[in-house]
Amino acid sequence: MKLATKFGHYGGTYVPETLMPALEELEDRFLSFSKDSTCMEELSRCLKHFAGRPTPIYFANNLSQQYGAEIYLKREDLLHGGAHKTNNALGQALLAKFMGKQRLIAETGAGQHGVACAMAGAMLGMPVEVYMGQLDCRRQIQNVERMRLLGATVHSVDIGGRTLKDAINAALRDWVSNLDYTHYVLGTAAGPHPFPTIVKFFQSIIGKEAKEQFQQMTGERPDAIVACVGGGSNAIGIFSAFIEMPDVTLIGVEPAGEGLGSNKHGAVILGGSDGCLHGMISKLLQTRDGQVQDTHSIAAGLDYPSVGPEHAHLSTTGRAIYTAVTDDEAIEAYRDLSRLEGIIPALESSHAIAQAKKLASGEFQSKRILVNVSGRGDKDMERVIEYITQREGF
Amino acid sequence: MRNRIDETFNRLGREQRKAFIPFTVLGYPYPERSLEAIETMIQQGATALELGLAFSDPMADGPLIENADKKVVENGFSTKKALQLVATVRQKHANIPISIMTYFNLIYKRGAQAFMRDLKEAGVDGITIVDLPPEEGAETFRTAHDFGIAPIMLISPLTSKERLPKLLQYADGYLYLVSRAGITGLLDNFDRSLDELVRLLKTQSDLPIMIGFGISKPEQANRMLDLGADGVIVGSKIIDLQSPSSNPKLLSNFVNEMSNSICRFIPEKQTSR
Ligand SMILES: Cc1ncc(COP(=O)(O)O)c(C=O)c1O
Repeated sequence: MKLATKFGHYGGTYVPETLMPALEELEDRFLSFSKDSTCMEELSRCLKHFAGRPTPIYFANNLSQQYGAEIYLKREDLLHGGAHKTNNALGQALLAKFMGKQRLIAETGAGQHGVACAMAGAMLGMPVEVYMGQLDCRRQIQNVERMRLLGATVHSVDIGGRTLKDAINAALRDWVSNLDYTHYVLGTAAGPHPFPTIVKFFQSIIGKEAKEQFQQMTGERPDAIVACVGGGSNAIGIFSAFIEMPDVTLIGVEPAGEGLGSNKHGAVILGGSDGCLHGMISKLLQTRDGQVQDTHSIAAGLDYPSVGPEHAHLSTTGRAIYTAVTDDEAIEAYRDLSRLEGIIPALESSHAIAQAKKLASGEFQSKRILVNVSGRGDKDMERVIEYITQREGF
Repeated sequence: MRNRIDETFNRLGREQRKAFIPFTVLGYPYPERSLEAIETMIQQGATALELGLAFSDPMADGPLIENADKKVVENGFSTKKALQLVATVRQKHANIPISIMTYFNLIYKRGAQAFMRDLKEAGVDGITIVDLPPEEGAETFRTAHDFGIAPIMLISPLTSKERLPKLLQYADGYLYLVSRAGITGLLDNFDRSLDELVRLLKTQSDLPIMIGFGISKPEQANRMLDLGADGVIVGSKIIDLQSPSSNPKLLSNFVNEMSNSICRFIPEKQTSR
């Protein structure tokens, strides 16, 4: 490999021998792609005209008053497809084309990455097959229908916890069996090198834009940046431009599910230990023997027992802080942002909003908090209504 | 230190015979049946054993082995219990080579030193770590060597000539050549460049070459031997025959048929060794 494969001692290429040559090829072609001005122009053009970049920053006045801090929202929910996932899907689809691959496969949790790949595949004329846990297919049915409408094939994965982890296993098995003509568009900043680096490269546009926009809007820097962390792609995307600014606090929010004390959560950095899954050393929720544990979150996109290796590293060095938000708190934030600002956030992003509320009533009262609204929440309507009906009985 | 793998292959070499290595998952479908199956395989002529330590997320395995792993993990069959099972087999069979096949997290979590010591104490001779390439494995492979456990390296049809020395520097026991770029399972889409690869491997290493993945019939096994392999490994078919609904007689017959077909005398001139 030509690039560093690890972040501190996290990351690496823990894959079967058959995948090693493919990862080497991918890194090599990615380096050429990212240095090729024609390719970069094509990517910029697609991001602007197809996907609608740049996305704005919005000062959430009503929410700010309610919560007690200046809250700014980076509006990835306005990106084509409805989430930040399009940045990476478009980038990797163009990379696949550049590599001469004819077929795209992907895993998806919430369905947003699957939708983004289906869109990119349709636009570039490439067939797309998406692996999705059976449980996720059920709770994000709208996205399953969207993928199908966009011409993708959706494979429901019926093993294990039937969520994102199992979908990644299935996608890796497909990839290793069809390497010569298939590119695996991994949807988050996790997996074996070079994926965390590639996904960060494509998602760092969020941070680049945000830094400039925030400066223009306020003449200042944000005091804190808050993003939800599933595998960690939207978070590393927005963090990337601020990592070198020690006065900007970076906060990643994990899913506490039914509470950190319960075993129904997905707070990997807070509750996990060093382990190896999906080609990387990172934090992992696991048993004493090293068997991977099932996770739970109301947000399908956060329901994953590991995390991108750079987050494990940023947590160890202390450069970023990781916290967790429960299902209940996320639902409350989902409703707050909808009612107060007219913006329905994804349940994943609602975790970041809920964290901003906590910060605003504590250490960051009256401070400038920039929240990455990674996606929009139409996909979660049914789930939220069901949840509220169960809790409140109306 | 005594090395049962080398001893066994040296003997096979002298006798001009080939090896049949069945694979099963320790504890599948449940502990007693697993032990019975292993006994059956030894009695019916297995040359050596390849025993899987189940992992919750076996990414290089097809549905048969994946489901077996899942079931064993769900049954709460721990690594400790699995190694106790190995020790039981070892007590009865002092000479059969036993290697473990597993995924890196089980080793990483326990710590390589402690893990290799556990293996040695249970009577294990070799280890295949599916998701540990030479780039990441130097320390683990060295630790295995230190404990007298042979690192059995997987080699893929996609492994280039340039990569091969990286793998071979750690390899011991035998080489495990996978028959296709893909996962375990019953499909027999063997890679078309296998014969070239076997020839190349023979110029680069003196270790015996075992081919595995997708072999479930004597004819397929014999095709691999014709290519110059020193033996074959059969996994998914064994797991298939071990399903709780399957008659134990079928496993016995299958292993018997395979070992009779494979472990026979093959005159020197027919092989390219
Ligand atoms: C809207 C949204 N936000 C966040 C995530 C979590 O992924 P990541 O941590 O890679 O940003 C997802 C994943 O599906 C998502 O759909």
